[in-house]
Amino acid sequence: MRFSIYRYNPETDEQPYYQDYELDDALIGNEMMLLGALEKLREQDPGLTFRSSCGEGVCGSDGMNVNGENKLSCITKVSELTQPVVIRPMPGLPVIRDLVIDMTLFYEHYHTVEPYLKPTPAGVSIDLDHELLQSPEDRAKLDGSYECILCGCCSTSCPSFWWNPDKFHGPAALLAARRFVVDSRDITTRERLESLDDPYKTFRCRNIQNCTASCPKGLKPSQAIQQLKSLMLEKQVD
Amino acid sequence: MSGLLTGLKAHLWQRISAIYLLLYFPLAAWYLNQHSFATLQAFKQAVLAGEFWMITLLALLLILVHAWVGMRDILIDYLPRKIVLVGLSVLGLGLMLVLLNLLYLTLSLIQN
Ligand code: SF4
Repeated sequence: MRFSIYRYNPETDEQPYYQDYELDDALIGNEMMLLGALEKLREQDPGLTFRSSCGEGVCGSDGMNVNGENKLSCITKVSELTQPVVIRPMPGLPVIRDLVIDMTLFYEHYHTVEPYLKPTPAGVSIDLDHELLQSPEDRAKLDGSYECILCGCCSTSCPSFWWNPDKFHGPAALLAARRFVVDSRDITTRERLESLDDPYKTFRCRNIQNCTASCPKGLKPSQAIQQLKSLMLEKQVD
Repeated sequence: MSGLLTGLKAHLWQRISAIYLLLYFPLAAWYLNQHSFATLQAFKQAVLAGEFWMITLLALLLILVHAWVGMRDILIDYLPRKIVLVGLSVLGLGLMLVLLNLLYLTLSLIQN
């Protein structure tokens, strides 16, 4: 099987380039995932650099652009890919080396939306003797957002994020924002929505839907962003 | 830039104007179809008759609002960051001129 992989080492290369690799078909089983193939290629070329950790689509560290689509290599079957398999780092963020990108901006946006519960007014500490109860219906509202593993496949496939990566929060951070906006236990819904009401942070979303198409967990960040806009409207009107 | 119809307000106005225009155009086509425009005078009479001119003026203003929000989004998306403000100012000025022209046209139509 043939692979064409983006290579770039800023210490030695002036320009990025694509390197061709060949992997013996006998080494590739029907069930082999792309991560397995990359590990075999690394045995051929120990310099080949990529991130990976759990190998089961849970940690979100091995996002990469495969044949033009952002995917997690550990849950992408090699047998389903067309040859040559062209692998690049996910687009839109600086490349550190080969397939490893600098996700600082991505995490900064996540940090900015304050992705944690704020169940008490500022300065009032939480009563640890009592649980923060939530009805099953309210709990169900969190489905479709809490499962995000922050792999970055969505944000780095979003043209609005490519154009304004420092100002537009991007689908992953907005999905997290939605998760806390709809949480019945959070008392800062209005403040959260107010801080998102900005021409860049939320309203750069042009409904392109690349995020939803590329999410390996089957989440729908685009829908979450539309919901945030509707909620803003409701809160303004009521 | 904040305050100049941005964020949620822009989102809202874009939708309000879109709905209004969606209703206006078929209505205007139907209404104007009832009249003949053999002379300029006949056209003026048709346009200025009843409430139609008010509905039309509002439609024209909403077209400007719609254009501002839509064009502004395109400029922010596609222009290099350094010249976004220049682009927005040119757009704003252009739309202002159209607005003034529109007001002038309306006044002269009413006066004659
Ligand atoms: S929403 Fe999906 S694609 Fe985006 S970071 Fe979360 S898991 Fe990854």
